[in-house]
Amino acid sequence: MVDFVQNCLDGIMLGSSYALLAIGFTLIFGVMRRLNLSYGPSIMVGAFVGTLVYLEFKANALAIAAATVVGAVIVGIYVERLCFRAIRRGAAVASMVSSFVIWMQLEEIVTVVFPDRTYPFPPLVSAAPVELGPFFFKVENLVMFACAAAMTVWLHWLLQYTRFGLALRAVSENPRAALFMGINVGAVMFLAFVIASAFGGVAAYLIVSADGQITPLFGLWATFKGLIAMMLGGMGSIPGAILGGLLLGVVEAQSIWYLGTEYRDLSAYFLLFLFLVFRPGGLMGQLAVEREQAAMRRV
Amino acid sequence: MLRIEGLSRSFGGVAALEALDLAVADGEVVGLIGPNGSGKTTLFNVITGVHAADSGRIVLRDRDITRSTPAGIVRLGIARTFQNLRIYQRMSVRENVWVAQHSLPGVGLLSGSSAAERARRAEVDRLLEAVGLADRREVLAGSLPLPDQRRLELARALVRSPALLLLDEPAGGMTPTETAEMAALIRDFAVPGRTCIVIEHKLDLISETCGRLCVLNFGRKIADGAPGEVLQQADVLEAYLGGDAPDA
Repeated sequence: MVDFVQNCLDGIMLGSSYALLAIGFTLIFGVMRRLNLSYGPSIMVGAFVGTLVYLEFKANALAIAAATVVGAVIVGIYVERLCFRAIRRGAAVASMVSSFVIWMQLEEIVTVVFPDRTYPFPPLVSAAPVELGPFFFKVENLVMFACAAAMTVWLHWLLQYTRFGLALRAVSENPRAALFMGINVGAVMFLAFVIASAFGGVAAYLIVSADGQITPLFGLWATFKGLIAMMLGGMGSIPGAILGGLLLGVVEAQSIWYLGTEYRDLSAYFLLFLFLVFRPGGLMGQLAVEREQAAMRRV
Repeated sequence: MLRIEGLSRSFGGVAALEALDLAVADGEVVGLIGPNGSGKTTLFNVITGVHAADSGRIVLRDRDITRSTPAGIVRLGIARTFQNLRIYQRMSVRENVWVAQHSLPGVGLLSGSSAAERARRAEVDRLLEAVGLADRREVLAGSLPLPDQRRLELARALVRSPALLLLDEPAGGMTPTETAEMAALIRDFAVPGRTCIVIEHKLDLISETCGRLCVLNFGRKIADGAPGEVLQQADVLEAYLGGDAPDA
């Protein structure tokens, strides 16, 4: 039982980083109704910018984290301009396909600029695990969880208690009506992209610093984890993204312990399979799916 | 206040508006009627920038707004309601009105607790009180019945204190009692001191709220004048009422 609870706690810590990735995906999807496939590679480039700052300047953790976030945001803006702003209306597939092309482009650029493929990444903290009764907590995992929790609280405040959050929710629900409220829809979408990229940048820094290394494949990994967490929670739902990330983390942690490390990713895909079969709308999006199905029946 | 000159708009070769001229004076309340497809809502859509005009001009207080964006037009002081409601279903009633203050001068992205912001929020509450939704301000707007959603849309349009208010079938789908209440609300609260154009099929509401009536048919203006006179014109009776004089 202690092992099970320990795995759950480890999974929640790990899942908090997945939640940040999923929030990035779902924020863009919720506002634009489009999938940004180059989200993972964008934050991977951010992590490599952090790596560059570390290797070239032997910078401290804060500077590396800042470089990672700024790098992710700049690449995110590049993607927004190219794949979303340029083709905004009625062309969700075109945006998704072009973001996939940018994924390839970003990965290629990183492979050329960083030919050694695997680079060291400094840890955020180096400390002995914290012991609490029968349970152990890695300090980097605690920091990851605290950062994710703080950012989630901040995002909740931004969305629920500020005029920007209100505008963002208005654009998300009905962009055309938002125009008649005098809302600058383009600016709101742009800022949503920036926030999503910043969340991704923080997640990338926390994950990579915990791993101690970075490769160009991190983009693919982050895309898979973020997408799966978002799907589990329900596309477009922020609370869903958080729950989906935590659930994914817990399932992975349990499968690592009981089945072995090689089953970690397989268990994630199996979980997604189960959701797609039995609850395609995810934890929080089932109502939307049922509404859509009812509408289809009416047609 | 508003001057429309030679306004035309067609969709796939079908003229929705054809060389339309209309002038609305400051403080005037104009009713706009016509059969379905006569171009009433298209006129609102062109004025508010949803559709671009093919030709002609729209001038608001000596400023040409023909090519302005919808958000820009809102900032210039035009607010509207919709025939097909555009309520934010997943927001509360209060948030639905609050969101319409977004581009008022001095409103920042991160609303603080300044005196101006408190005044703006108080204005939202005052409007909700006036339209009879104060006790449901925290309720999700999507759960309101249709008449209340129409009241909410009216409050949302008024919260920016617009210079020109465009009401598109404000009593659409309402019972006679609800229509009478809406007419009273428009007459006593929404339009006093404001320039307003009202599209409505219910002539009771039009005659109660509007001092002037304009009739469209096939995108053209076929009559314009005092409601009593306009509703006696033969071409209006033919186009709009199928040849019968109105009871009221």
